[in-house]
Amino acid sequence: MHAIEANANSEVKLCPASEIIGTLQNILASLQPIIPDLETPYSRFSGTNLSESAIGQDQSIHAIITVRQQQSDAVLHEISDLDIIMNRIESLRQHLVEKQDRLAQSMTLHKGLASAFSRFPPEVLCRIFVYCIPETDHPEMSPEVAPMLLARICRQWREIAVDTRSLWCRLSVEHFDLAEDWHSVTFRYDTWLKRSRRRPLSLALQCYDGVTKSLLQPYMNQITSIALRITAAHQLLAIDFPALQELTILSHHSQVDVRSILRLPFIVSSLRLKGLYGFNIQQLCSSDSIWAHLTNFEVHVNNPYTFLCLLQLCLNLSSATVGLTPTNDNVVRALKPFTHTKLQSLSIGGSFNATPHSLPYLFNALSLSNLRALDASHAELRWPHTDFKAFLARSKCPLERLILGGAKTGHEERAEYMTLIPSLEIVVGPRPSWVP
Amino acid sequence: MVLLVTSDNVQFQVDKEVVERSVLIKNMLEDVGESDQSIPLANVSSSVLKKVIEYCEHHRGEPLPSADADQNQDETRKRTTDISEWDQKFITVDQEMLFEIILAANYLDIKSLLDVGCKTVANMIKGKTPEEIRRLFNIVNDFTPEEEAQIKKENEWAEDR
Repeated sequence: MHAIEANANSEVKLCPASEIIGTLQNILASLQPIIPDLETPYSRFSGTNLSESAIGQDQSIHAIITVRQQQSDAVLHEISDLDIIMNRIESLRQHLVEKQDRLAQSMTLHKGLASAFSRFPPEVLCRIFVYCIPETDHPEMSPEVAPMLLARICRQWREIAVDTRSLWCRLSVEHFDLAEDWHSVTFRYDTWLKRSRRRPLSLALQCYDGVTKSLLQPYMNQITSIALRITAAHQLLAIDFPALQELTILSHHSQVDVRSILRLPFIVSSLRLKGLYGFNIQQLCSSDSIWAHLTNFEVHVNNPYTFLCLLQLCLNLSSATVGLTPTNDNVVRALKPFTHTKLQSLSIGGSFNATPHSLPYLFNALSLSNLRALDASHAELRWPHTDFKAFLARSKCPLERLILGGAKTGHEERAEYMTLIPSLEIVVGPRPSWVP
Repeated sequence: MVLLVTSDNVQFQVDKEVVERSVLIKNMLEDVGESDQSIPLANVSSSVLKKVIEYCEHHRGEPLPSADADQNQDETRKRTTDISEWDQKFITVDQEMLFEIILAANYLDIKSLLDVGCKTVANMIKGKTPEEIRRLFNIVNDFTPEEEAQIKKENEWAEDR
């Protein structure tokens, strides 16, 4: 222990710099600036432009110039000597800065060793790293955020970050500017995607052109989930991605091209159409190819009739999210009662105050015998209590959680649901962020 | 009741239902069967165990995550760092205590507590520069010049954007 302490002190004892600095301080303190007396009989002509004839051809002027030249040479010599000394002082300063850096590093090292953090096993660091990934569906490639940030801290963190495949499984692939250095772009994306080491990849594509396609070529069999803009969808649906299981199409108020959806491979089990409206029901019913394979579906429709049509096609659906968009279509079409036996989770959103018949219509026509979770927290609505109660009684479902959010219900109404299903958990008010 | 003995030799009598939130202790109790013997916890000090017991008491009766829940979690899914209000208050401790709780949760195999700790550390990392992170955790930048060059190469383009 004593030896270690001596070792720790040894570096700071030898400090010749402090002696040099002390001596220099003494010298500089005693220095008086010497201003030479440069007065001559001609000094009074300073600042004037007298002609040669006015001053005459006095030889003494040449003598003064010679003396000044000698004096100047002497000062230049002194400046040069001082420059050499200053360079040495600068070098000494640099040495001290480096020494300070090393001392700080040593202090950091020992503080680190004393901290419980240094005892974290790799699996704990790995767990922390997973939580460092941005909570967006598809993070952008940025050195300022995880996982790239984590690979810039130290060797241990880099090693763990690079070896943790799950950190590199989600990415937003940008729209490339062809003016950029293509090799450089490929290198960066390759570096990221390679680290996923054959794990399923989930990508967001801003577009799907030839450039993106060639970039993703080595990973086509690995990509299981894609989110892309509708403008690129028709090219994608030509199917380059044999492992694709989830497709999210993002758009703003575009019409759904049902024909392109029908061309999706049967392996696709999750389809989310965000911001897309206007299903053509005739097209929809013309084929049942993709629908029967879906287990998760998110869609916006203009009326509950379309949603019921979709449910009748998607017989294996276990989770559905539907946004009912208010339109002028207030015609309630006749639909035979329908029971879906596999749907476990249903999330309903929309402005039902604008179309008050929508939800009662849905609850009256539909029975969900396997429903376990109903989320109406995103709906603005007057809750159709009687229709919902009839729906519960008819469905005989094992409902575990009912999230009502802002839907207006009274305590007595909720008590009636609890009477029907005693184990039911009802969440009223804003949905807590930690509820899965 | 189960008797736990910490590294600094302090004894804690804890309800079986509470202590069994630790998979390590649960398995030990199952292996040993009914016994009055104390369980030594050589890696956990009394101040840390006190906090761990407080957490387990609060979450008593909640379902335990399945053993392979982590492995089954789809890696392409994002993970939230949201922490419930009580847990957040509980984990507001000084940095060294936070690290000790994480180590204890890992050793005792209490997944939910480990997650609360890891999420808290992750939230400390987010939004910081590499230098700030090194300072926060007393980490030495030990990259060789070659490794620094490689990192620069990986990040150049992304930095430009």
